[in-house]
Formats: sequence, structure tokens, C-alpha cells
Amino acid sequence: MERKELIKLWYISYFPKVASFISKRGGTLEDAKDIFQESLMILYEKRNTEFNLNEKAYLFGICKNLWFKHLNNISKLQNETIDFKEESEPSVDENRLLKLLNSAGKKCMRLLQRFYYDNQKTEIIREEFGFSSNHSTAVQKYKCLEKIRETVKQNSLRYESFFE
Amino acid sequence: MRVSLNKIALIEKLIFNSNSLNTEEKALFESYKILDSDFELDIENQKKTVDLILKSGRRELKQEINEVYNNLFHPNSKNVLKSRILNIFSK
Repeated sequence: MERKELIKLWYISYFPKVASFISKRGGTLEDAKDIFQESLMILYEKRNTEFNLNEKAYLFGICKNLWFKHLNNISKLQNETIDFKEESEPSVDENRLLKLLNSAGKKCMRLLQRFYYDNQKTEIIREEFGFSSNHSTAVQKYKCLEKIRETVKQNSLRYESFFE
Repeated sequence: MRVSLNKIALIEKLIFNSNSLNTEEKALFESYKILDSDFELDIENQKKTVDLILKSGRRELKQEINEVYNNLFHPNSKNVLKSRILNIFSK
């Protein structure tokens, strides 16, 4: 199943329960959207490493935690004056980051994300990218890694804030 | 695989699962530490690279989640989920 299809399925299956929970406690649709989206990110990463996960229970647990955290933040804000800056455009650092990553090419980045972020098996990646064997898939992975690492090496002093 | 790629593979094992190094790999690691003045820096940069890949993966996932939401809740779209959610918040 494509990732967007999976995300859509999660919305259809779980969002109403989360929205109802947040609405009953005085939250808005925007609150529900933000909390649900943040929870989906956590769920996605968790399911890449834990295969027998009870998705529904885990997701609802995260949503509850994030909601209570959100309430805590609101009560703190009411007692403090905080200077807000709207994040409407990508920061300078983020733009530099994108430039760095694009220097390796989109296919390379996608390949490395499948390995590291999606924690996907070599066999599956081999099929997806049409490599002839697991060995050639691994070789391509290390070639891409070498290319980006070299760029990181050349720029690491200038881009130190990425890694803080 | 060429030597530089084997070195990258070795560093990957060091970063993610240093306990899984076999005797030959341990010896290779020790020799790199002694003979290769860039080795420590290579490890550091490889860690940073993986961190960048994870960050970019996260960023793309966030965009996709938002795109799915925007499609489902687009002003012109009509679907059961949208009706249910809007109904919850209209009470």
C-alpha cells in the first residue's frame, strides 16, 4: 500500500475518535488536526521498528498525551509573556539543508530514506528501485551515502546548527 | 565493493550495531583508527549524514500527512469523514 493511502486509512479509521475526545474537552478542529498529525508522525516511526504494535491503542495514547501537554502549554502561556515568531517560510537553515540533500539527487535521497527512515528491508527496496540483486542495492546505498557524506564534510562547519 | 564503500559499510555497523562486528571487522576498525587520520571525522560526518536523511524523511512525511488532510477537508470535497468531523465540532 502506498504511504498516502495508509495515511488516508488512518484518518478514516482513527481521526473521528480523536476529534471527539478533543472536542469534548473544549478543543477546536485546528487543535485536533495538529495533535492527530503529530501523533501520526510518531506512529509511523514506531511501526517501522515494532511490528506487533496495536496501532489504535498506541495512537490514541499519544493523542491523549499531546492533548494534556497542549493544555499545560496554554496554562503556562497565560502566565507568561512570550514573543512569538510566525514560521511562515522555511528558515535559512532549512533551505541550506534542502540544498545539501538535493546535491545527491532525488533518487539517492529516496533510496536512503527507505533504508534509514522507513527502516525498509533490502529485498523490498531492491524491487522498488529495480536493482538486480541485494548486493547491488547495498552498493548503491553506500555510493549515495558517500556522496552526501562528502557534501556534509565540506559544509559541516557552515551548517553546524542543523545538528544541534 | 571498492575500499571506500567497504569503509562506509563498516562505519554504518559501528554507528548502528557495533556489537555485531566480527573479528575481521574489529581488526579493520583498529587499523583504520591507527592508520587513517580522517577516520574519526568520517564517522562523525556519517552520523551527521544519517541524521540529515532522517530529518528529511520526517519533513516529507509531515508534508504527505498534511496533503492527505487538505484533500479530505478541501472546501469542495464531500466525504463521510469530513461530515462526521465537522458535525463533532458543530455541537
